Amino acid sequence: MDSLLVTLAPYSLVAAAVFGLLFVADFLALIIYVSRSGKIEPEEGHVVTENRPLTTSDVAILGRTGAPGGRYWGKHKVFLSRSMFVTDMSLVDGTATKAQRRFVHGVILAIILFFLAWFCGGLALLPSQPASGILVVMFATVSIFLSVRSLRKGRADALRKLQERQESREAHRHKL
Amino acid sequence: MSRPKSAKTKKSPYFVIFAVLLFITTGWVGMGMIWEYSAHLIASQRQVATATITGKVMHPAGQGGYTKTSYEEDFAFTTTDGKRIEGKTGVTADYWDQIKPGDTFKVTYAAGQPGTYHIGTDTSTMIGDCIFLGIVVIWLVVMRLTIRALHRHPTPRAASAAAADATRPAVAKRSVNGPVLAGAGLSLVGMLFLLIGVANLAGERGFRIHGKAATAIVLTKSTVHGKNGDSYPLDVRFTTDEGKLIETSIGVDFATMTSLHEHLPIKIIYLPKDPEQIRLASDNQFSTYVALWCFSAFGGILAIGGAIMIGFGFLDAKRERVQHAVR
Repeated sequence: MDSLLVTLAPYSLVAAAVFGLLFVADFLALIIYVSRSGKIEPEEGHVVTENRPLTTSDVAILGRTGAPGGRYWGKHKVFLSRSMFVTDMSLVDGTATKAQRRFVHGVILAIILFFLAWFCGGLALLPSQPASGILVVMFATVSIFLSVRSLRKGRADALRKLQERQESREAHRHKL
Repeated sequence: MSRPKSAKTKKSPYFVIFAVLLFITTGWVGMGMIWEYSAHLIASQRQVATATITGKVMHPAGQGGYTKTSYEEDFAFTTTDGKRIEGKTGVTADYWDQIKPGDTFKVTYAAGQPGTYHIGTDTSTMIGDCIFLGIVVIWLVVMRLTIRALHRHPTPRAASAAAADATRPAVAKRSVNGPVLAGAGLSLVGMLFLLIGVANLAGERGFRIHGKAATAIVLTKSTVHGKNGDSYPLDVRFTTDEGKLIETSIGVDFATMTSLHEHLPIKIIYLPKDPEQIRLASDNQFSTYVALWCFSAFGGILAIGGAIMIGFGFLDAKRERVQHAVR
């Protein structure tokens, strides 16, 4: 088993690098796609003034630790702000556009590539750092499991709601 | 209730930067004044004595709070009136190797204040005076900039431009196309990654093809605390196949740093063309190679993605212009 892991390690390292790069390429393609086909947010092209309490992440960016205190006040110009929102219901009932379906396929591909990159990275680490390797493999497995479960649950919920809607519509028609 | 600031005395946004610079340069002026006073005191009351090395001390990195291996020599000298002065000074690793207790060297001290001394017999203050004058000039410039920034008067041209900008519609102000700007940023970052990656790959290839093995001696170990984590530079000395003595440094990881000790040998690989460029022989070259390829490819992907975004941005802008003209 050990010798198999040692033999596999260099290949796993190369595979992790390739899958990681494909993930980056896919993610970048999604960004470009959303920047062209997504909804233009109202703040795009305008100066935005923020005046809010400091969050923990703000404190971390400032290089400090501890509980956040004080307020953040800032002004910045937003050059680009676009978004794409796809509901499970639109995918199930067929109202989602081609662009939205393509975007969902891209997201699923990104999830698979993310899993493969981490999984192969974990395999490459196993012979030299077994504890870290096992942790990385576990992280990859748990993250893909949660993602798939969430996707399936969303689809099942949407299907159930669609079915309920159709049934109530038919019951309404029978009453009439 | 805060009173609105008059346009005549509006603070410049650079005021804080100038104020910080002024603070730093004031510190330099203070240090320069102390140094100048000592140098002139020694030059005016010059007395030469012979100091004897009384001890050699090495402080290894990671012990006693030292983050870098430090080499010191302890010495003592006697003034003309019989007063014994003891001192210590930091020296280079090379010099430290050469000296031994009992060796002597000359020191120059101020007769009225023997505690003020410097090593050697040169008491010329010319270079020090020039440096101090330069610092004073910088301080004066920064002082002037800070005062100007505190009481900035807007020029008539800037005021009229600001007024015109305020009356223009929001759409007319959108001079920068968002996707083009984002693409340009992405491309720039990608090119930077690509350049660094390719340069390192070329260096790595050089080591693979032309690298020669040698045994080096660890001179100093240090720990540098940075914002993005600690780094561990290692100063080493080795002799090339041609007999040339080279002193250089190399960055290592924490585990390697702790496993090595001062004045012990390590195996390295050096480039005969540029012997200051070295690698540890124990480095995993395959993973380094894969990481560098990955780094370069990552840069390439970002640069290509950025270029695509710029292209789409220009195409969209052109299409919009044509549609606008048709209307």
